[in-house]
Amino acid sequence: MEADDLALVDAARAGDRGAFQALVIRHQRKVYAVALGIVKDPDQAWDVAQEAFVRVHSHLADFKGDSSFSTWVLRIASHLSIDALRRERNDRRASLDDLHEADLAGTGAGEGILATALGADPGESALRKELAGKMAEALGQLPAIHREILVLRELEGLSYEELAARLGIQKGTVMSRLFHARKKMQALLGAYAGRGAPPGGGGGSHG
Amino acid sequence: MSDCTHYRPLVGSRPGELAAAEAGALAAHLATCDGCRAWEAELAAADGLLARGLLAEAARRDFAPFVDRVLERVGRRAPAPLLERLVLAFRRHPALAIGAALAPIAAVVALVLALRLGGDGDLADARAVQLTTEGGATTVIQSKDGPVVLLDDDEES
Repeated sequence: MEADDLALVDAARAGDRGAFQALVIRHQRKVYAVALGIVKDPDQAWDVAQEAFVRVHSHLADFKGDSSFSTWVLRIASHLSIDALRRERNDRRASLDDLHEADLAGTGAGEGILATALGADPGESALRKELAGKMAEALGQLPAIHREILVLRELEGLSYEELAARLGIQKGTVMSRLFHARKKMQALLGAYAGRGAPPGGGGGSHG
Repeated sequence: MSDCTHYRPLVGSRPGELAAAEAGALAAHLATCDGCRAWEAELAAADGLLARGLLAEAARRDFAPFVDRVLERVGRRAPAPLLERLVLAFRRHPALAIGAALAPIAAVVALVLALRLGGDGDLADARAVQLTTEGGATTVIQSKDGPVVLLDDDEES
């Protein structure tokens, strides 16, 4: 699959519009998903995703193939998404990143709703699908800095080191911020479970 | 700070992300802490769910106009394909780029040398002007020593 991407990149560099079109079609949904996860607004995510591909096209000659095309285009998309957010927001970063004893409340044994609901075999199931949808929905209710770090971790698959470099924060802050983000997500899913959606499940955090 | 305050954010790390000593200490803590083990189970259960949910949301959207719009924007911005190919060739073969950059300089140097070394100095600077008087043609050469009139055979004789 990736070899095909590289062949398409080479062809696109040589001016083959069909090859570039194929690259766009292949990656458009994931690029949009990353943008949507970070910026939240579907129309803005659409614009960001389009801009990501336009930037990709204008920098095709710079692509050296050190990483996969997918990694490259997702990186551009997440950069653009974060830039878009930063133009709009004025987050209270410090207070959101501090970790206090009180933050641990509610994450004790017995509150592992997701783990309990999905059981030992959290494979394909209607409940899993439903929880995935709820999680995407809940993401939109998180503060921007928590959305972006979760998406970078979960969709782009960035490591702690990469997250620290991308977001310009310390590795310790990365872990703390991820913890807060997951905990908030757990709280939101817990509220969903409390509204009586799937029996025995629906709450929890996210990894 | 309790142990859990320290260790809970470390839960969910991928192999190699924590220093060996840190990973060892976390494992020892997990062995004795029900709360952190439950948190670990939560993260494991939720692994991949967010990505799946966002991709499902993306899949519900109609992407038919997406690529056309991108190509339209790219078409407006795209440099000439020939230029693109040249840039690409230069990136792949830097020697080619150096050669191309030096070519105009080499041409200028060659021209200067040709003018300076090109045979008779008088002739190198000469400009010929042809004058016509009463049906006869006379050629005047402007050399650095002044005009030189070339007489017709008839006039010389």
